[in-house]
Order: sequence, then structure tokens, then C-alpha cells
Amino acid sequence: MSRKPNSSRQTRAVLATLLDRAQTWRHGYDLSKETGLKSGTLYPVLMRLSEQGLLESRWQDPERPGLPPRHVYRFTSTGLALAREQALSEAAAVAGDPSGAVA
Amino acid sequence: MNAMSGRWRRVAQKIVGHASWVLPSGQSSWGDAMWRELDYIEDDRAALRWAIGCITASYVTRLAALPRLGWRLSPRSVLAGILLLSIGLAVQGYANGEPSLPTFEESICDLPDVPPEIRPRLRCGTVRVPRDHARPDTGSFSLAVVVIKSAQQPSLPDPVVYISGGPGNPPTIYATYATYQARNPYSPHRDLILVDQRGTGRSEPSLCPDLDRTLLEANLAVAA
Repeated sequence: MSRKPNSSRQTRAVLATLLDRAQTWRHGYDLSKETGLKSGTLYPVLMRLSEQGLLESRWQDPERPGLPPRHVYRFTSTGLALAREQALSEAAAVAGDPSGAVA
Repeated sequence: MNAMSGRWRRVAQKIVGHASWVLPSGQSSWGDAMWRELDYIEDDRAALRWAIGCITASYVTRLAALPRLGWRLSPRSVLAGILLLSIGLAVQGYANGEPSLPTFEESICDLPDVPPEIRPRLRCGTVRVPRDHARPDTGSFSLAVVVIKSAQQPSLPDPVVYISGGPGNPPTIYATYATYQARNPYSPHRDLILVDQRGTGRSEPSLCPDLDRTLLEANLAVAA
């Protein structure tokens, strides 16, 4: 397939949402609400981005006693660079610059 | 929370438990990740929608791991049937109040001294079984179960189920020890399932709680 990797609408939504607060560790459920993606779409995207080394994850201590730890995500430096590049090319496409058009 | 909403919550937990189970073992931490978010979703219907998504994610990931299927997967077509069937069965079992087949309900591993490097290979939980299989209306017991995923993946499809002799010895507490066995005596290519027999270890019924605790501590000392 010749489609550019990570260019699907769903993946771009995840990248854009993470880019809003790039330094913050984000929860799966919150990402689901912010992107409007169901967990069934969101998690395969998160898994793939992690496998590609674009996301890092860790377990965060529970917010209140009795609750379990949560898995949280944020960009690696590579992921951040890619997301910024993607955001720029989308902005260029909106502005009508064909050189920046997203495939 | 009314009775109906509690029921939906249980269905959601059951579905996420299954979703977690479906994931390839190399991805099991993602199963935990999806599972734990459930406790942060207050609305039961939202929790159920989350759970249904989790099962989609797990099947997509599992099937994508198969080399010949990966490129033509479509969550909306091939998987729709599988999902509707499994969810339908889960919901129907609860809605009708009929006994369903015992299933593994995963919970967080609280085994002592589990080193972080082997944690991804352990799945802890329970299986609820009828107190009397011939008379399902007489109640049920929860049995403690630990699944040790094989270090060599992909593992063979049929696991080894280990029930300790005696009876009386609860094998689940030896999970850490069993995982460390460089030469798994049962089969290095198979997942290993440890089950505490009813009345022993962490399984119900708890016949002699004080004695159980003493034996458990003694066993843990031996296992350490």
C-alpha cells in the first residue's frame, strides 16, 4: 500500500490531541473523549504509535485510594517532531499550498 | 446505582476481561491498561460502550498479528459478527439470569513479591463455578486462577492446567516461582494455568481461615 503512514483521520486526531498538551501524560479514557474515538479505534492506534517509538507510556499511581493505577501516554521526541510536522502540513493544506497537501 | 446499572457494570467487566484475554501475550499490558480505565468511568452505559470498544481493539490486534490476515482486516465487517455474538452471549446470560459457562474474570495481581519483569506474563483472576454442578441453583464458589503466559511466543494453542496434589496445596502462590523455572517442566511452549482447588488457598469456600493463613504463610516462605 502506498498510503502515507499515520495519515488516517483517526491517527491524525490522536496526534493532534496529544499535541495540545504535549508535555502532559494522558489517560486512555480522556483521549477517547477528546478525540471522539471509541476505545476500539483508539487503542490499536496507541499500540501502533508506541510500537513505532512515537509514544511512551508508563503506569501512573492511583488518583484516590482504592482505585487502580492508570496507563498514561505522551510523545517521545520523535513522536513530537512527527506530530508537529503533520500539523504544519495540514495547516499548509488548509491554506491552499499544494506542496504541503496531505495525501 | 440501581440493580440494572450494577448488572451492566458486571457485563462491562466481563467483556473487558475477555478482551484482555484475547490480546497477544506480548501486548498484555495494554489489556491491563484498558481494564483499569473502566474503574474511572462513572457512567455504567459509558463503561459498557468502553468495554465493547476494548473487545474490538483486542480482536483487531490479535488478528492483525496473524501474517495473512493483517492487511485485509476491517473491524466493521469481519469482526462485527464475532463481536455481536460474544457480547450477545454475555448480555443474554445476565439478562435471563441463566447460568453461563464459567469464564475467567481477570483482576489485578496481588501476589507478593512479583518482580516487574515477570509481571507482564502473569494474569490473575477468578473463575466462578457452581457449588454443585448438578444443582446450579445452590450457589457458587469463586476459584483463584493464575495464568502464566509462556515466555516463548507464540505459545501453543492448548495450555497446561495445573491442579496441585494433596489436595490442599494452593498452586497459585507459587506463580512467581513457576515463572522463574528456566526449564518449564510442563512445556516451555505452552501457557500454564494454576488453579487453587475449592477450599484451598484463595479459592472459596474458606474452610479454616486461620489455618489457611498459617499454611499460606508457610507455603509462601517455601516459595520465596
